[in-house]
Amino acid sequence: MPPPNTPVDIEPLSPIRSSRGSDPASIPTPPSPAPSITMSAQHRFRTTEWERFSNEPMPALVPIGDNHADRSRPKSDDPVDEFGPTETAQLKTPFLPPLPAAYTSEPVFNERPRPIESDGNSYYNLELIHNIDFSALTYIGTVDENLICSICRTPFFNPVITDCCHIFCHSCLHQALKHGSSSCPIDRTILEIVNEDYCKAPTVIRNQVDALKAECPACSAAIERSVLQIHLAQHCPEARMACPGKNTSKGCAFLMLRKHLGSECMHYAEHCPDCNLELMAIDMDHHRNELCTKRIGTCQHCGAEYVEIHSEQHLLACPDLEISCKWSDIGCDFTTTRKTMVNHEKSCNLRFMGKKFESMAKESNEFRNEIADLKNERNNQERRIKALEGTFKSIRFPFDDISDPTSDAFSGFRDNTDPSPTGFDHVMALMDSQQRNINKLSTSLRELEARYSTLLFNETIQIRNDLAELRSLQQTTSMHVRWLMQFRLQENRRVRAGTGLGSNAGGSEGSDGSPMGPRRSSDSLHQPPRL
Amino acid sequence: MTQKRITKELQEVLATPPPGIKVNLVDESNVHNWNIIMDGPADSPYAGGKFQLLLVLPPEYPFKPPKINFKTRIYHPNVTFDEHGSMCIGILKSEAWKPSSRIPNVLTAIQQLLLEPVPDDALEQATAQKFKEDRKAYDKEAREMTKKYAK
Ligand SMILES: [Zn+2]
Ligand SMILES: [Zn+2]
Ligand SMILES: [Zn+2]
Ligand SMILES: [Zn+2]
Ligand SMILES: [Zn+2]
Ligand SMILES: [Zn+2]
Ligand SMILES: [Zn+2]
Repeated sequence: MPPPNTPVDIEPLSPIRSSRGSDPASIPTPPSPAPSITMSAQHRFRTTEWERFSNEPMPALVPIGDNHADRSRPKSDDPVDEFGPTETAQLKTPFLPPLPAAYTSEPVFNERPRPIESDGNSYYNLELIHNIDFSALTYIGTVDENLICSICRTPFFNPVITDCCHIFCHSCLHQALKHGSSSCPIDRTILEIVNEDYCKAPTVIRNQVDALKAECPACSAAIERSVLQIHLAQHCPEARMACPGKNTSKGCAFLMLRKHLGSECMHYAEHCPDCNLELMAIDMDHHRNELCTKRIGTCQHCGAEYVEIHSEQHLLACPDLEISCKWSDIGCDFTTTRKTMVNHEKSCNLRFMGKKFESMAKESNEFRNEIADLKNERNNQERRIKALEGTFKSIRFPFDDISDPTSDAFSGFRDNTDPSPTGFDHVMALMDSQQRNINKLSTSLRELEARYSTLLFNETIQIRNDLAELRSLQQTTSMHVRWLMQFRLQENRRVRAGTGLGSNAGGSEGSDGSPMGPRRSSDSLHQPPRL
Repeated sequence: MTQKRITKELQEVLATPPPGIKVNLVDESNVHNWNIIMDGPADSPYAGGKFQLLLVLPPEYPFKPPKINFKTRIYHPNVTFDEHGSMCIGILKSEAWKPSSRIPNVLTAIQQLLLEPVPDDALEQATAQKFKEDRKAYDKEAREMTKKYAK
């Protein structure tokens, strides 16, 4: 008998929860490491045993996420106050853009740090839990009003149905019932839900909301809602990952975006060469370009302003910088500012030689390049020849024991005057020889087959003859046995008759005895061997 | 979720406000306090008046009803004629509130209340008395008060 709360056409509440395991009724929400426990906590996907993890000493985990900035904040009396807030924000941004609303808390490691080095440095698994707040997703296009929960005004997430046939998100209905009367949030029908035993909404509804497309909270791609989790965990280029600590001997406890996984770990403190502020190397470029108080420098030669980080580029073009004549390496030691150098170059004593020298240098450079190219090519060819030789050896080996006329294909090949046959010819020759080998093998196989079948036939004939002989012998034996049985029966009958009717005994003996004579004589021809 | 639902509703109300109603936030950084300007309904003695209301959405919204008060004085049996402008309206009573109700529903209910006062559920007994016994005098008084306060 179904429970009174269950509408008939609804699939029964099974112990198997949705594979995403987001059902707060079945999975106790683990203590959240994030400082803000929002209502969306119930939407989080967690498979980790956070408790177990959190028992571990966690100093290495501390810098993850928001603490990132705190770590690199100067401890000294640097002018923090002057640009404190901007600085903090900036320290997080360049490689970790601010988290979008729907990609709520910082990801959590789902595996314990495992030591890899003997010196005890930890390495962090790159797999993280990516929490999605499904109520904050941006859906693509307009969603059917019938799929929208009247409580949170977003498409159903994990929908459940009431006795009065109203559908809500699991968490929405749960909260509504927790907040007061146990009545339906739409029509105030009294609901009798015990032990949070909500009835799942029809599969049709679930499938419809699962198929809705939403923007990935990290990369904004349009992704089917049901695979969003997988997308974030495995594919999304903007998803946060643990830094693999490339080019560091130690593991790294910071996060980076998946698309940056290939780059080196830059999570170490450095001092800004301009303002001496200590910050993460990864943020240095951004700081020096945009935020540093001393980022603007003035050229001591021309008085122009430039961003300090680009000072070298400026010096390469500064009109008032003193430079030496471009023929300095062939003997002109004249120096002047860049803007007046043009005039000198027109009149420099070494300008003709310089031009000649320049073209010669160019030519010799060309030659050098050509030689390098040729050398490269030669190396390549050598490598190819070696590889081909190796291939020949390995191919020939299995056929060595067969005196093989087809191996001439190879020898002919090797003796070929063309030193480097094209790959295609080579493959064709190989295939030819293989084909011939196969033909030969199949012929010999056929011969062998014929030989064995004749052999078998001869053997069988012998056996068949023996069998026939045995069969005839057996027939004779059984005939004898039959005769003996009959004889025995007649004997018995006669004895019985003799005791019953003495007068007939003689007559019956006579009449019985007469057929026995010829029979015995004929049988004696096939007298069976005595056993 | 509260925050998100309120934001959603605010966006909806701003995009398509109910007729005769303007909504803005008291403080841009706080979506819980809404400032509402409601035109007096045309067929009522409040016509021509602009009434300011303060709508406060509790942290438990939508599971707890919002609170709404007239900031502009209004002569009405169901609204206290003082600086609080407290109001007695069915949809906002906590035993009648449904989480599926939305702010536009509340606002139109208030417009309805201005059109049709409920003297049996009055907060201002004298006003209710007048409404029941001398409708013309009530209308006149309401018009005057509207002129006086709701400009
Ligand atoms: Zn209902
Ligand atoms: Zn909902
Ligand atoms: Zn993505
Ligand atoms: Zn790193
Ligand atoms: Zn700096
Ligand atoms: Zn300069
Ligand atoms: Zn020169």
